[in-house]
Amino acid sequence: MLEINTRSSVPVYEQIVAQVRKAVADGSLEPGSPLPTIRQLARDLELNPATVAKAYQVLERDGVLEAAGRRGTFVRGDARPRLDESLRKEAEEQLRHLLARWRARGLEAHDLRKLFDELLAGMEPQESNR
Amino acid sequence: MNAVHFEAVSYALQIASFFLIAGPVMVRTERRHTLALNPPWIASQNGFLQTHGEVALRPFRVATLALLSLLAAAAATSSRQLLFAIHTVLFLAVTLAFYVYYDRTEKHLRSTIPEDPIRRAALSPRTLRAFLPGWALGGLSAAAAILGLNVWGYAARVIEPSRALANATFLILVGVGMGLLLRHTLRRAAYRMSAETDSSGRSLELSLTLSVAAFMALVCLYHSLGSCGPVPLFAYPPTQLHALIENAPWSWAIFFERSEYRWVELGTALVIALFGPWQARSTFNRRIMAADSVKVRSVFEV
Repeated sequence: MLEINTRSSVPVYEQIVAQVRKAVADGSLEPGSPLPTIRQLARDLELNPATVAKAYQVLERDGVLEAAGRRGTFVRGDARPRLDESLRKEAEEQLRHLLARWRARGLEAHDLRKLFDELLAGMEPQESNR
Repeated sequence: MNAVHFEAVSYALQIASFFLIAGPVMVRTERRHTLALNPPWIASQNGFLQTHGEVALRPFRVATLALLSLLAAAAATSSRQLLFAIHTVLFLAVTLAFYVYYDRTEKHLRSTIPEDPIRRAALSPRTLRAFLPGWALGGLSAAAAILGLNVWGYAARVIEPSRALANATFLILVGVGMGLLLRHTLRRAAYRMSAETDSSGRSLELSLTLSVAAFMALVCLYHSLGSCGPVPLFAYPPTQLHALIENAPWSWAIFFERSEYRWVELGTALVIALFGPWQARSTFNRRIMAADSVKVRSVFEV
């Protein structure tokens, strides 16, 4: 089930992209599953079809979805590894940016590594509780 | 109990079932839909639920009492014409009046509720197969086969040509109408509720449309089969459209003069009488009345 908030500061198409990605990542959308047509989704969410089309384009570009002409739009067979890869790249990019910023402000590499390990260790019990 | 009394009882059951069970269930379901449009806003309005939480059902009770009294009076005079007029014209007119009244009331109420910023949609495409069991789709093929039978009967002169043409025209018209209804049910926006109630709502709508289509197809099959045997099953065409194409006499009087039409009418009465319990027992209505009304009420309990 897709849920969007029209009052959110996050653009609606980004909310759709994020939720489809999440559904593919957690397995609620299996590889090869068909997705609703742009028109159907736009009607249900009371949106302009161009907004949904934009979200589908982004997902196609990222390798999550593939359009099969009149047959509709489907989740790609290799969507999950592609998602994992793109998630890893995104995390790497953000971490690189953060590390560079804190290094520039004077923190040493071993301090950052220690902090990172501590934060990860603190998150592990939460993850095991899920 | 004579034949007229028996008919009066069957019509009374039909009216009571329609106005005391199906009607209230349907308008209450619509009200649940309205209240689920924006529960947080409704919760913030003092007295909104007290005023609009339930639909006024008195018109249904008054209409039932009036129509049943008229039926009793008609049965006392043993007038089939009067029974027929109450069962068709008056019953239909009151049903239409209720539809317009409750639809307007609901639309007016919906226009006063602001839009909920949270919107939901299922992430799966809507197809007939997703909402209907396989045998229901078999019914569609059967209706198409009856159309084919009449087209073949016309070409091969097995069925009286004007009758086959009338049946085919009628089935095509009904088919186009029902096809548009099926398409609308699949395409219309989702109910702003759970995916489960949206899905069962569409199943109910599609089943209703297909039931009407199947009934029409059966009438045409009966009409065309009668043409193949030595004695026509329907002495007169079953609809005015048939009569127009077949260039045959037709009047409303055949419904109370000829026994075969009386059986069709009684059959229709039985179907409509079962409509009430069907609506009350349908998964969709039960879920809306139970699960979604709990959802609406939970907002007020916070």
